[in-house]
Order: sequence, then structure tokens, then C-alpha cells
Amino acid sequence: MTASVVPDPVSGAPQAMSEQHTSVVIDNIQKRELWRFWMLVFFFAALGILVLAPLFIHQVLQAGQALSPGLAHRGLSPRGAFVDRNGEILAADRYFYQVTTTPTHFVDDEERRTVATQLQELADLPFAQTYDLLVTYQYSLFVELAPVISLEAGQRIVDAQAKLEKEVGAGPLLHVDLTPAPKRYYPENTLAAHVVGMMVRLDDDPWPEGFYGLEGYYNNFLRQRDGIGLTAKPDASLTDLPANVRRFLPSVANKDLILTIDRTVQWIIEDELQKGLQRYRAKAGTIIVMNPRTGEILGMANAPTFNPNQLSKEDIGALQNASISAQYEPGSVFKVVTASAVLDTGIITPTQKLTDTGSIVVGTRVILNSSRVAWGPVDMTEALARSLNVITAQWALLLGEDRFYTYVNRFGFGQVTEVDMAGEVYGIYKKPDTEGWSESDLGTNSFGQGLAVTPIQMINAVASIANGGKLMRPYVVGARVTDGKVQVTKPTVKSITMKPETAATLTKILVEVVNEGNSAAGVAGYSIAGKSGTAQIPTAEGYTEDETIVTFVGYAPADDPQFIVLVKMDRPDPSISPWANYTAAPVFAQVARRLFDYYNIPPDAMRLGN
Amino acid sequence: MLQRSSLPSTPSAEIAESLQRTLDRRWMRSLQESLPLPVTWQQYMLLLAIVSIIVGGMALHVLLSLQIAEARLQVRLLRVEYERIERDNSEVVYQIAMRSSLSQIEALATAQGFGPATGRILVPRTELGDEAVAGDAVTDVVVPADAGSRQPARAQESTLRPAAGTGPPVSQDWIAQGGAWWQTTQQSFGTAVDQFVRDVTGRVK
Repeated sequence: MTASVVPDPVSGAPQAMSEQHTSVVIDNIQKRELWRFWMLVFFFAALGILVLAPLFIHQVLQAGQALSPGLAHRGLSPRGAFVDRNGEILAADRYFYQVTTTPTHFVDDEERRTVATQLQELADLPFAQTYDLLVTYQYSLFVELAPVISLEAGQRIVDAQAKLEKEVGAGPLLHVDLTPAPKRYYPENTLAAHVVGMMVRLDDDPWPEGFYGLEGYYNNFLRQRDGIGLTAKPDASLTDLPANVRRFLPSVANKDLILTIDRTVQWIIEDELQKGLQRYRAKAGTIIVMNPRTGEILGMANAPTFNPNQLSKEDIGALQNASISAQYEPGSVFKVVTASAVLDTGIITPTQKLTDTGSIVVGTRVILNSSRVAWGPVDMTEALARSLNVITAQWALLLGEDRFYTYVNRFGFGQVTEVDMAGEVYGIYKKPDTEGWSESDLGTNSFGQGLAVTPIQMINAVASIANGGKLMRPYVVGARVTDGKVQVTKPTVKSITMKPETAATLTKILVEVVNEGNSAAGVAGYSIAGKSGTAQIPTAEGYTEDETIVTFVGYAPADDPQFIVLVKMDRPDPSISPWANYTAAPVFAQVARRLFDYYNIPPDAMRLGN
Repeated sequence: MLQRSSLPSTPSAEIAESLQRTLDRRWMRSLQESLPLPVTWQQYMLLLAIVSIIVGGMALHVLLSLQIAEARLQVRLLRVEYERIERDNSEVVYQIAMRSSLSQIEALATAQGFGPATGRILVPRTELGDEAVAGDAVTDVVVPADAGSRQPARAQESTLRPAAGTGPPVSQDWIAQGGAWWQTTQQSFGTAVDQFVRDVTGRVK
């Protein structure tokens, strides 16, 4: 090629060369170009195969593998579980299958019969019922063949469908749809029913919603799909909790509540409440057990109660949690509020005596002792032990309305305690600036008449005495669990009701009150501080003669309170006794006795060594 | 796209003419200037390498996309399997909860002769002696109630015994007694000295 002449690139005019030589050059060039061309073809083909081959494999050869495997039913959201403080389940979800189909998919009667027969064999669904539904709704796009069938029965249908699809590839049974759906259950039935609440499907709701109690209060938290998360920084992880507490956690919904309720305490108080109601033929009742130091509710029982698993059979009047939504006149148990106010302000000392004249006029009203007896000079202990209305009214007059109602407010009356359950009410009392208030109200309010409180307010107020004057926010949920994180409820002081010294003094007085005035509430060997209260029931015509509401609130051991108990019974049979001292107090003693056993609290002599 | 210098020598006037026509186009000329075709074999190899990298990247992208799609599918399948296991687990929890409810436990306990624990007898620590104090165990023994009787099931007489392995052997009792005596003596001696100092100096030690 050394002699070859290339054409002029600009003009293109060939230069002179021999024809033979030119032919050889062209051959060489063509061969070389051809080799380069095929090299390029091969190279790009290889690269193309590198890209296209996997696409072909996955899009064609493995077509269909990426189809949706059928995600779970997206309708009703699972809800988190409730466990008590020891990890025992109080509410959780159980799964069922809902059986539905599109009737228009069945082309003839033979297919409908086949499906009805197969469903009877596999899931025990009655042939006639299934067949009737398919015929009746044969032109519809949706029909529910069974609202719930068990997981085992559902699995049998799924297996049969898989077998049918594999062997035949088609069949009427393949038109049957199974959707897993959660259903709430409460293994303890009536136990703590008012605390856990219930699931109710209202008219305009497609799914049941939480109602009352914790189900209602935490409704927005408990739903898996649209529930809110933790409202603050988590305190711990789930694995930090004791093994017994987290043994059933997390649930499917992964949004669970660990309650402060102790199942055994709840059992004890429900048992004693039932016995008390039977013994004294009372119409209704409430027992609350609380830790006075923290405000944790350990048990809360009401009667009549209900079974949240069978709401359709229950009386609707029994569904409300009377512990937080029933207002009543507390009666003499309210005297501890007046006593603490008069002690805390220093107006009266524990040993200072006032004269009980048997009656006193406050405003326009004459106030008498319930015994109608004048006891003469009495100190605070005796006044509370004998539950003297006249002396209590004197204390209120010494305090004056401003200071008296300031203390009433500090104890949390007339306001919600903020316990975390749905349905709490405020309670009622008239203040001096309220229309219709008169000085007579000051006198009657001082011993618990003319105002309305809830049981949770009353126990919380007395708990503040046991807690050195700190009024706590009562709570039922000890911790919330979401995605393995735990947010622990911290005890919250709502207000300071009195000085710690006043609380200590009042505790000593209340121990004497139990020893001398409410001995039926005592448990041998233990120091118990408490006070009873008997209130007549107000009606439009005035107070009823025989019907009463009896209450006893007490805490123990008095020197180191581990629990506080409120016992309230409505309308005990007056032929047995209308008085709290003979009805509520013995029930309290029974509860306290069992709690001493349960918590392994030895008698004072052993515990304190004296 | 062709570059003039890469063309082989050809005598064909038609080819040259065609090439000239092509090169006369303005856009081809500008393209040629900005992206010259390889002329030497080194440039040729460089071009191939660049094209290989681009196509290799495309292939990698396709492969990774497929792997991601496969992984997603796998995750979805696992999710479905997980939900199924959760449902089965819920059923197990339901069975456990129903069988361990307090009403069930009460029925079982009653059937076996157990009853409420009442009449517990507690003994002060001071009366237990060193063994029980050291063992720190005051244990109630729960026994089935006698068949046919309705007596409380919890034993009326508690058995006091130290926790296993924590109580001192009987043969070493004298050592424990000696220790207690020494502690008492020390305390009384300390109190007596304090009292003496207080009496003499009027100050509390």
C-alpha cells in the first residue's frame, strides 16, 4: 500500500494509478472494514442481549409471579390489646374470616349448588342458606355468605381453592372470597368491664368504635391503621419490661395498653361488692382501689355490670361507669375536707374543743346531728368519730365561705380528675358567686349535703390526705406500647390540698375515727384511717326518708398507705341498716383484709416491731 | 456519522461525491467537530470502552430493578405470611386467655379442693430466731382442703422454714449467737459512753 494514491479529499478527483493495484487495495480495505463491522455487530449484540435477556426472562418466562398475592382485608382495623399490670389479657383481637362472593360470576344454577355444597363440607355453612343467598342476589355484585367463620374453616376453603386452581384451573369455588377480620373479645367477661369499655357499632358507622372506658378514651390510639402514635418521647423499649408483663405483647395492631389495674384486686373487689350488695340488699354499688402515692387505679368495680362480649343482652343503663359518671351527695365522708381545711388554716387545733349544742342555724337553715343528740364540748377526733354535723358546720363558719370553697376546689371537686377513661363528669357545687348560693349552703356543704361528687373525686380527695397533701391525677393506663417503644405514665400532682403536717395529723385523727366511730371498718392488727358517710337521696320533693347512699373511704396501713379503698352502695335495705357504718364499713373491712393478704402486708405489730 | 480522515482510499467518484454532499451539511459538520469519530485504534478502543460502560450501566440498572422488584415481591409474600402467622398467634393467645381467665382458674381450683386463703397465721420476726430471719422466708403452705369438708384450703398452721441453703447449719448456732451477743454488747457500750460524755460535758457526741 505504499504506492497507493488516495483521491483528493476536496475535489474527489482520482489520481493516476494502475487498475490492478487499485483493485487489490479495495479488496484489502473491504476485508478490513467487514471485519470491523462484524466485530461491532457482535459487540453491540452482546451488550443488547445483556440488557434484554433478563427483561425477557422476568417479563415473559416468569410472567405472573409478581402478581399481588392478596393482601389482608383493609376494612376493619385491628386494635391493640389491654393487659393488666401483670400482663394478663383483658381485651384483645381474635381473627375470623368473612366469606363473600360476587354472585354474577356464577353462570348457572349448577355452579351455585356446587359452591353451596362445598362450603357446607368445608366450613359447615348451611347449604340452604348459601344457596338461597346466591339465588336471591344472583344479579348483585356482592353478597356476604357468612360474617364470621373460624380460621380453621377458612384455611380449609383456601386449601381447597389452591388445589382446585392447580388441578383444574377454574371452578365456582374460586369465586368465593375470604377476608380476615378482627373481632374484639374480653376473656374476663364482666371483670373490669366498666374500665375496659366496649365496642359499639352505631347506625352511621361502617365498623364498631370504642365506647366508654378505655376503648372510648383511647379509641384514636388503639387503631392500627389510623391510630395516633405515642404523644411524647418513649421512656423504654418493650424488652425493658418484665417478661410476664410483655408476654402477650405486642399484639397484631402493635398499639397496646398496659393497665395499672391488677386483675386479682379487681376480682376481690367485684366479689366483695357482690356479696355486700346481696347482704345489704343494695341496688347498686361501687368499689375503687387506688395507690394513694401515685394515683394508679388498682381496681374499679361497679354493680350492676355488663358483659362486653354480649352487649345485645345487656341493660343499657348498666353500661356507664358509675365510678366516674355517677354524681351523688357524699354525706359525712365529706367532713374530712372541712376538717382538713380548718386544720390546715390553723383555725382549730386537733385537741381544741367546740361545743355541740345539738343544732345550729346557718343562714336560714337549722342543722341537726344525725343522732339528734347534743354531745357538748368535743374535739376534732370525737366530732369526726360521732360524725357531728353541728360541729362541722361550726368549722365551716369559722373558715368562712372563701376559704372553705378554696379548699373544696383544691381537693378537685367540681372538676374532672382527668382520669383516662371516657365518660367522666364534673360534679356540682355552688360557689358564693353562683346564683342561688346562700349561707345555708356553706353549712350543708360542710358535711356533704347540697353538692354532688363522683366516687373517683371522693377517693382522690381522701387519697391526698394519705399522700401528704398531694392530690394526684388518677390513671388507669400505666404504659402505652407502640412499635416496641414504651411510654410510661408518670404520676402527676394536680394540686397541693394541705400541708404535710396537716395530712399527718388528720391521718392520726382518722385512725381514731375508725377505732372509735367506724370500728366495723377495722381489721385486727392494722391501723386503718377512714371515714364513713351516709347521705339521704335528694328528690324533687326533698330528701327521702329511708333511702340512703352509703360510703366508706379508708386507707391502710395508716403510717405507710399502700392502698386506699372507696366502698359505695346505693339504697341498702333500711330494714337491715341505712347507715354506712353498718353497711359500707364492713364491706371495706372485708376488702382490706383480702388486700392485706394479697399484698403480704403483715400486721402493724410485726411490721413496725412494737 | 463519518469522518473524512477515517475513510479508506477509494477511487469511486460516486462515493467521494456522496461523502462530500454529506459533509456539506452544516449540522453534520458541527457534529463532526464536536464529536469526532475515532481515527486511531486507541481512539477506537476508547469509544468501545465508553459504550461498554454505558451499556453495562444500563444492564446493571435493569438487573438491579429486577432484583428490587423481586425483593418487593418477597417482602409482600412475607408480609402476607406474617399476617397469617399473626392471626394464628392471636388465636393461640385467645385460647390461652380463655383458659387462664380468673373464672376458669377459680373453677379449676375449686374442683381440686382449693379455696380462698383465709386465717393466715403470721409470726413476728423476733420470735422466729436466727434461722427464719436469715432465710427471710415465712411461707404459707397451700394444701387442698379435705374432701367433703368446706374448710378453707390454705393451711391454718404455717410452716416456717428458711429458704433453701440460706440458714446457718445447726452446728454453727453458737457462732451466730456469739455474733448477736457481740453486737448487743457493742451497742450498749456505745450508748453508755455517749451518756457518760453527755453527763460530764453537757454535749452530745
